[in-house]
Amino acid sequence: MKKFNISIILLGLLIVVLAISLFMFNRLDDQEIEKDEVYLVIKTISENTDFWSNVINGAEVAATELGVNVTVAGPEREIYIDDQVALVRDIIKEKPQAIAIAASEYNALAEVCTEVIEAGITLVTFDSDANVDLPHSFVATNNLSAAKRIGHELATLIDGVGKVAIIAHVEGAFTSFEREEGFRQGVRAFKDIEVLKKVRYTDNSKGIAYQATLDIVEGHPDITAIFATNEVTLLGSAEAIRDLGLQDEVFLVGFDMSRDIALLVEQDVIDATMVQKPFNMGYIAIKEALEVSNGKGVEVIDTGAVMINSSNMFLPENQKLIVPIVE
Amino acid sequence: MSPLKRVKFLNSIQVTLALAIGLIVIAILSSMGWLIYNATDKVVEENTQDVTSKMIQQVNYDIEYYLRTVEATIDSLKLADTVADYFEEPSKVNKREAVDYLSSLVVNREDIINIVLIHPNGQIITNDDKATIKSSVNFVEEPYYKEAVAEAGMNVSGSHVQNIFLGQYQWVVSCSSRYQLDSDGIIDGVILVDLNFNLIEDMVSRIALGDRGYVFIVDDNDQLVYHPKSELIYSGIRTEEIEGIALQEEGVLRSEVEEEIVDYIITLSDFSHWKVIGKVYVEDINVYRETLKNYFVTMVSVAFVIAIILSIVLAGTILRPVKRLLSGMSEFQTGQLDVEVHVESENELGILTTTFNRMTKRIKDLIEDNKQSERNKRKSELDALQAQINPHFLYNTLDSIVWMGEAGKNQEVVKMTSSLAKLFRISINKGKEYVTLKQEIEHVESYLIIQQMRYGDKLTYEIDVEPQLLQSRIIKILLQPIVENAIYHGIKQLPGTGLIQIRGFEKAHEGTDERYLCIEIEDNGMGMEEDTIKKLLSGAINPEAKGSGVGVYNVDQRIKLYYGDTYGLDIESEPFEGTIIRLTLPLMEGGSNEEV
Repeated sequence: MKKFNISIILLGLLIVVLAISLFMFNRLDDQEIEKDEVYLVIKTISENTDFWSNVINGAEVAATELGVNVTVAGPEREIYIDDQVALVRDIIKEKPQAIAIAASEYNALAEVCTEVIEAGITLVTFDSDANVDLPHSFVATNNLSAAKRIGHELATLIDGVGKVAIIAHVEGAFTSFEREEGFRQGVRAFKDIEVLKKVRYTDNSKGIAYQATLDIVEGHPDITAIFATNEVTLLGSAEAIRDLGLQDEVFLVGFDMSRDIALLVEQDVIDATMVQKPFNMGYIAIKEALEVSNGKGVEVIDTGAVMINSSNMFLPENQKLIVPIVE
Repeated sequence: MSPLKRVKFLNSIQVTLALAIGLIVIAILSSMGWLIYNATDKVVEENTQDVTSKMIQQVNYDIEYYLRTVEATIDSLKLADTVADYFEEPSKVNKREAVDYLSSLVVNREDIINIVLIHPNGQIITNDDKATIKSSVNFVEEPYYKEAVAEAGMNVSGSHVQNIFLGQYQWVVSCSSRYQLDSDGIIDGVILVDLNFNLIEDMVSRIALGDRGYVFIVDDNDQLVYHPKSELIYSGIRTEEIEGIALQEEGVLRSEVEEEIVDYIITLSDFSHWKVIGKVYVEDINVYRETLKNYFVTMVSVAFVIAIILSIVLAGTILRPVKRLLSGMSEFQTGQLDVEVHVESENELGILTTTFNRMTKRIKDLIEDNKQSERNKRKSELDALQAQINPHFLYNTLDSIVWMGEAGKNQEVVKMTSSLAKLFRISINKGKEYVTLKQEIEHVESYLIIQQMRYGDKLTYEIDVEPQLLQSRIIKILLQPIVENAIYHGIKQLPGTGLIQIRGFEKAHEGTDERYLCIEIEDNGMGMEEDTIKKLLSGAINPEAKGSGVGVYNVDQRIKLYYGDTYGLDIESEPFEGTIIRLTLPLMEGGSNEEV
């Protein structure tokens, strides 16, 4: 080995060191980390309700906090159940880390939700569960207990005596069923309260709810109270009662909140409504989806509900539930 | 085993050097990495805090500036006649005109939701006459009225949903200020301006601090004015260190919230008494850490490997000449004095090698010199010894001359005396070492003549030398000691006549053309045993013993000293048969030409 060979070796080593340095510094600059993809499938994207907007807001806050990408998807209208199923099938092909689904219908979404889990994707249902045997987390208002609470509240309002009708949103929808069931349990203790056997379904249409209310009042002039199971149904029903001028005669309780409902609460047309926490629901759904995909065990999470009436609606902690979106 | 192999692997300079360099590299890089890592941490943290504070301070200034313009609007309202008239006596003003005036102020201002003039008697007038004022609202009991009355200047509320108008659910910030017609201390009313909260939210909601950090606002009662996660806070899912923030007016508050270290960067507005707070997750600003750490770990390992390779190569380069030097030395140690180590470079090792070479050469020279001088010393000793004439011989010869002289044998006296003189002349030969063969023959013949005269018929001799050899040069006094030995040990005891034959001839070495001089001295004396021959040649005979034959051994030694070991003397002998002593000498021309 001669001297100049050592120089060549040194030069070579120097080049290697420089190359590695540059490579590492590039990596130092290139801090972009691949973010996990999580899909949030809601029931409707165009029926522009505060509820879903707020779910999305919560999901986005969670996305920022946890460093994931959240993509929101959903069918045009809540009743387009097949669209939601097709949508979830498409999402499975994208192979995301997790999918959070608010099932439009308990049984119709069962198959595709099973497919999600079988594809190795974490499934979290929120708001409304699907009929899936495989273990998965469910993030929602505990509709049964919330409905029980409002049933109890209504019974107290009418002093435990009277005839009560139920108007529900979608037959077969899990939330619809649970709220109806919870409400019945809430008033069961009161012997003098008669809950009408016939439940009217509105297919999530305000018009049908309005008409159903008129029908009930016509069919049962002695009706004491009505329980409406969701936002659209409650609004339709409340408008009917307001229009009939029966707000002092017929007690109306229900679920959900909107500005229109807020006004009707303020005017005492609606005597009490269970307001869910959609922001929290969206937030927790994403968080749970990520945690489960990282190995946490599945569970059912109650996001809670607050009973709002005209006297507590302007309390600072409730204002955001009534007017979630600042305009 | 070479001395190099004896060096254990771990003890070798190469490994030591490699480890040392590797360790130094690791130590330096690690400490530098650690320093940079920590310094970067500190700098990044401080910079982030600095930048964030400035940004948040700016947000606070913007809000404050904006609120001051609102105060200016209120102040200008206070100067308007319509307002003054209304507060003096509500019935004094034309409601239509007052509403028109107020709405003219609002129409170009997206930020103002409504302006409300609140009279202490509970009556109000607003810019929006179409909106239904809620009958349930008691204006003088609302906080925006009471707080404005309690204090001069503008009172700024937190964010809330305004509930003055039926069916309107606007998020607003209420700015209210008391109105006094004169300085009698009586409050004549409150002007309320509701600002669209959206504008304030826009100022802060878009500010992202790191990946997860955000900005929020609390009012002077430590109530949230704006918080991106207010729903979660109210539900208790998320918490903020509100208590700590309440205690600190401005600056950075480091706190552990929800198992994470966060920095609250707090700025306070003296005007609105709002605190605009940036929440920074320390982990977010330190995201570079992992990469930085990987970088340093990689660099240290790469540098370590390089250092090892480098030191092995370098050590090899340094050690190669050392190894050569070492093997040269070990060769030298075994007695190879001709070692010369190749000099590769002109560095210290080159100099060392050159010095070594010089040293070996010097040692070799010294040894040669020493040998030479030893040889010379021995030569002169032997020469001196050889030149000595046995005093007994001289005495006996002189005795014989005397005896012959007395007997009147003049002829014999002359012969013997002249032979003795010749013998001495050649022996002395002016101290010269070399003589011609002719002179040497004359010398031995003189000796033989003297001895023959002494022994009479008991001794005869023959000399037969090839004539062309007579001028060859040889060292002197080679033959006389041999002849002396033949006489004293071979012939003296012989009952009959002894014959000594001297033959000189040329001979060639076997298989070569190289020629040499051979001189044989043969006697028919008593002969010797094989054992005696050996003793004679090895010099192992007692020099004190009479007629010991030391002369023969010395002759051999002298020949070897002068001409090398290839020449010398050998003896053939049979007991009771006789002896041949053969001298082999180099054939050299040009002996001393002096006349004898």
